[in-house]
Amino acid sequence: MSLFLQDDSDEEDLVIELSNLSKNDETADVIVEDQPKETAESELSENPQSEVLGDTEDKVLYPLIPIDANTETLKPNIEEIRPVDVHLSLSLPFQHLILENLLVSENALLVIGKGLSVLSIVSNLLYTLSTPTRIDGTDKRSLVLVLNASSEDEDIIEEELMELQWTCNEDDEEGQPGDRPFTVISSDSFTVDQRSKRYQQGGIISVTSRILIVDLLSGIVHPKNITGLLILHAEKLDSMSIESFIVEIYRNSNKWGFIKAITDSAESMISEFAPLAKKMKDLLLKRILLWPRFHADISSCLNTTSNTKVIEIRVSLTDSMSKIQFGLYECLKKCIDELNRKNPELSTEYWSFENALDSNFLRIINGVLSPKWHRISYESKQLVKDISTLKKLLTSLISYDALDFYELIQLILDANKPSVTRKYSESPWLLADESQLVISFAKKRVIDDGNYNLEPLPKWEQLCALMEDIEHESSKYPAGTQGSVLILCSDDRTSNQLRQVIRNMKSKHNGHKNIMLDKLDIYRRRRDDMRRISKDIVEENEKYQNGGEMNVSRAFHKQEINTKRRRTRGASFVAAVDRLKNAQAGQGQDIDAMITSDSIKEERDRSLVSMETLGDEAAVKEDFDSEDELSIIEEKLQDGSIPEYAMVQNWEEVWERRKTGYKYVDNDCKIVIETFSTTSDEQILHELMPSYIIIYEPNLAFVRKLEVYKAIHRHNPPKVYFMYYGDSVEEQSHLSSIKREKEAFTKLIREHSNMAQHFETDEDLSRYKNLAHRKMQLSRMKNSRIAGGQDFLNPMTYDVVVVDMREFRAALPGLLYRYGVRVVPCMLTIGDYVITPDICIERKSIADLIGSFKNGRLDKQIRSLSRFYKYPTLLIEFDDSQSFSLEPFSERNVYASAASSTVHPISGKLMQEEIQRELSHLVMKYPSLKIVWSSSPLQTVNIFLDLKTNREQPDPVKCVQFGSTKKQTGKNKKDTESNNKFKNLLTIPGLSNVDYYNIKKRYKRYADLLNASVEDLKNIVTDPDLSERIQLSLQRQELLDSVESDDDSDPKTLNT
Amino acid sequence: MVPTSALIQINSKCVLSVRVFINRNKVLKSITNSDTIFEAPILSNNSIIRLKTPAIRLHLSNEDMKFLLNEIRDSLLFMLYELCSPILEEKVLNKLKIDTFMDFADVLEILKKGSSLETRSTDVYNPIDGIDVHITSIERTGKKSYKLHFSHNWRLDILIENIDKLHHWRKLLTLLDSVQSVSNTGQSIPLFIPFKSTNVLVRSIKPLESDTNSSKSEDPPILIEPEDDGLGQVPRDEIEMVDQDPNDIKLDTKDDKKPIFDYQYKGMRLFDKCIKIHVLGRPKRGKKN
Repeated sequence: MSLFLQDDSDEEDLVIELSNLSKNDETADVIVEDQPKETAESELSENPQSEVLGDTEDKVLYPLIPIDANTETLKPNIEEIRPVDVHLSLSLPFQHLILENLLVSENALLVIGKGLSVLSIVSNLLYTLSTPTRIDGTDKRSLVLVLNASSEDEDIIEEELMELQWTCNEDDEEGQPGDRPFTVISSDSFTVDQRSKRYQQGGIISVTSRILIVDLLSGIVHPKNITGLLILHAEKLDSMSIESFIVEIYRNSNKWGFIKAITDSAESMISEFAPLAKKMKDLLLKRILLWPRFHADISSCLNTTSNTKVIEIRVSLTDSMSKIQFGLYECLKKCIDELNRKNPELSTEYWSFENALDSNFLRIINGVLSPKWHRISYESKQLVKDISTLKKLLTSLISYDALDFYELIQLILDANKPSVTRKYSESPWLLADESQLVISFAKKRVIDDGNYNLEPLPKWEQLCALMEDIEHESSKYPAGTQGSVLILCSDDRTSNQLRQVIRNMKSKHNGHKNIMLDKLDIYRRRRDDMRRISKDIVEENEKYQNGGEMNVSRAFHKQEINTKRRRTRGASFVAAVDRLKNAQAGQGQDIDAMITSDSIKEERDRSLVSMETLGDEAAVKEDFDSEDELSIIEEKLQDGSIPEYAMVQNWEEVWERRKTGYKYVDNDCKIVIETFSTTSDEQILHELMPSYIIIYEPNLAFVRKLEVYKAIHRHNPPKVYFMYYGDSVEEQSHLSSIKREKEAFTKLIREHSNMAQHFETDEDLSRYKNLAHRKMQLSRMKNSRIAGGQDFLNPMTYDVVVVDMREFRAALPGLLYRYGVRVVPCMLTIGDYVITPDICIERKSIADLIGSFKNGRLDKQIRSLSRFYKYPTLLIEFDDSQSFSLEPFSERNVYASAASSTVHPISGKLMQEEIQRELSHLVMKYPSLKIVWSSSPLQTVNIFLDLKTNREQPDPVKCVQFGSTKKQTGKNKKDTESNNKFKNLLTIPGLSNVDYYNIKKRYKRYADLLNASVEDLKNIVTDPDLSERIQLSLQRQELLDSVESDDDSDPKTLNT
Repeated sequence: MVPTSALIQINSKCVLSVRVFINRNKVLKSITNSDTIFEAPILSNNSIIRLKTPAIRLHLSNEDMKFLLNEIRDSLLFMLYELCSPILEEKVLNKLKIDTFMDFADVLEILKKGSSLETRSTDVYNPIDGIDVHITSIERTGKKSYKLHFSHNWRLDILIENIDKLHHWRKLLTLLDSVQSVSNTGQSIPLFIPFKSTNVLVRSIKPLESDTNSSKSEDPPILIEPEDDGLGQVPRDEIEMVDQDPNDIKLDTKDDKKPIFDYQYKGMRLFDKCIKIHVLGRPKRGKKN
């Protein structure tokens, strides 16, 4: 957004550009026509390319590959063909093969297995593809665009490219055309001018799709200048996404450039029918490259390094844990079965317990349910939510410690208690017998028969044993020769937990118990805080009995956040509100009552755990922002009433002290705990070069990354320990993720082998097809009475739709383009789409609609729409995957704010009524407002086209002027008006210029002057008579004005 | 060709992680000609691409890294403690426009004049006592990023990616510093470890105070050392990296022919993802990595 809120100059440039666009049929074409001439001319000069692009820039910094209009010029001059050496940074043979395949196959889609160092391949590919061309003796940079890259991807690519740059020849150094600079263009970094400069400089640019599409449409970068597109994360794209729109525009006017797409997630592709064919069609690709892990080249490369074995550590669950797991499994099974029973017409065979551990399970269920969301029963919705709760519980069982898990269970129980806002029953899973098993064993893990049990996680002990082994082993080698220890786990919570465990590992008396007791203490304090707050709230509630409900709950919300600041826990956040409300008469308090500070202390004494660690590191650690941190330390400082820090007199002492702490930490003293991530863990692996790696939880992608790493570092392989809980969710989900990826690839390979070879001509591009269709439609509507329906009376024009730049996030502009409509991006102040000079449309998705009702923005938008356009229109657009009904949205919206647990089914209805009421208010307030309902973007396009037939095309310049510039002129008008009125003062006898100046200085606005009393004026002009005269004349003037304005009023309102 | 990361302990609670990149072109002038593994003309381009076998990854050995990081100690400390101080921020960091640079001697001069601390140094290049900053110039490369050129035995570019981060660290460090300088009472300051961050623990040899002091406190450790030549060799190497105290203690325990030393692990506040070092030249020495 912020990108487009630029200063006026930019906007003006755009407007000018746009008016040019609308004048010529296609500025692009004009440019292209100009090219051959110019190149012909410039061939004489030394530096031909700087002239070619000279239209907008005075001087081009680096020449780009030329805009070639005719294919003849593409034919390279044989004498100029030269070899270019590229030193790769890929060291494994299969990586070379992939790169070579990608290079030689035109427009290819690469599907690669997870964790096979996709980004290094990408960087090498980018580097190679952006090789400069030599034409007429000058090197010309190419412009390669990277689309859909995440910011982490960009960081890694940038570094890899830098390193590649360093390995290349001297003449490709910085400043030379051989240099391939990497730029990231994202929303906030560049203005239009800077962007166009960057494009002209060439190199490799990673650009946000929404910006690129606007740039392409408004001519800031021309497709013919772009050497090629590289699209990352292709699995996320479909025919509606902007990237596919970009590709189409690109291909339309650039036939020689490359388009390459890359994905490393085969699983997410196979959810649809014939995914490869579809993806190829969407992104206009021609070839598919499949590189699963079981590809012969990859396995031959990775499997040979079996000289170092992975040490598998299979930890078994404790008795309580396996009982809880059993209970949760049973509940999950029951929920899924029930869901199948309740929705027999919707359920598929995928909805089974076997697939429940699949991470996409819920998404797939939701994908089926949400188009029918308004038809399924309340119980089914509840069941879907329960499944997600149960899945969360299953994973937290093995990653949370006993206390945290118990707290989570407690939270769920509390949230399910009947209350005023929720009369409905508990979650169905809590009704099953097995749920009692879960609850009772969760309690047992914390407290057993009145004694603290505080069961540590079984993996902790194994981890400590491992650490000791490593200590022992590394002491055999001389110092400094061994690498560090790297521990990997799934999330930040576990990472912090492990830090505690290792830190306390050496404390003689039962380190784990120590940690748990610390946690228990914190838990108790927090619980007491909550009790206090909830008591306060109840008291407050009693004070305001009528209508105070809302107020109190808001005030409460604030407090809630304050106290919970350090302990925010995922989805349970809002559930805690309910919990607090009911905390007074809670039934699950029986254990809580036992947890008191005394009992904890007792326990400490009994287990000989000292208090020393408490308050040191454990006290404050979880969530805090940076300001917090400083303020707390400062507080501490003040507590100790420490004198000022200005005791030291000279620099030397200061530095001496600072230097004492400085020490290089040897690699073998380093223990790093990192979480799995899609990109950064691989990087850390390579940077740290650890000697010992402990994989605390199984993760498919990381295992692959490790395989690659081991293959690269064949001579000094790290020792790898792989930990998992036997017979647990963890083991199963890991196995199933391996299976799923394999299946996905099998499916893709099968599809690929059966795929028909597809050839297409330029005319096959969908745009032309649809355009032809439209033409036919138009001709049918022609009137044969006028000159036999000949064309000359009705000149063929492009359909034009002016679209607000901010709207390019949506699919609609792309679809419009494909239907042969010229899409003109503009900074519109009013409305989103202008389809004729009279019709302006404000598009709202449902979520938007509800949001803008709430903040009252919609009213403002409609008001300005109806001021400038004859037919202000509100378009309410639904999505293909959503049900065409208001109900689910109103319901969902409530979920979003309540985050979890149950919502009264009637609230959805209420919400729906509210939307309807608001809409009718709007229609009554603005009678000219039209409302268009559309079930999908595709339908919207059809509606647009119908509305546009036989109507004039909109003028982009005018559309932009509406709103923004209007305001300014209005203001200027007012200024001149009050100036004129001020000038009337000069006609008063006896008023000098100085007096006039003083009055004007004092009263900036005429209205202020009118309100001034005689006394006030006396202070300014010093002459009492004069001040009275001024007052009199002012009153007279005002009277005159009011009469005049009465006359004026009618035409004035018409004008605006 | 990934960088190597190294860890530096700043004080008892904080460690700084720096990433060291090696500029191959600058360090190894002559690039060995490697074999071509693949040759292909790229479409839309009149060049024939010759893919070459990958260059072997370069990274600094532990020894080199230690040497390097000790050399830039003063510079790093200067960056952490002084570069973001109000004076320099106002007069240097904010004044510099993107893509301009400033001589570092001027920066030091500004600091010297602006601070209340006295200094006796008359050296133009190093006007501040106690440290040897070998940074020659500071360059602003982006809105929040700076580049410092270092030149002594090593030639380096030290890159600061996000000056805000450095700013925050400075506040934290000076606070910790002032606490340490004043109170030796062992008042504990909570160690802040952000929830979302890489956790780093540092292993060190645990001083076994209570046990060893009681048993062998009177024996001077020096007397024992020569007797232990053969056995002591391997642990001796280790001694070099640890502090003096555990050293003594270990020698104590060695008397029993059974080295009982234990490790301890300490959680550290990690300062990461900000400082990068580009190695442009390494000192000439016999060794090659």
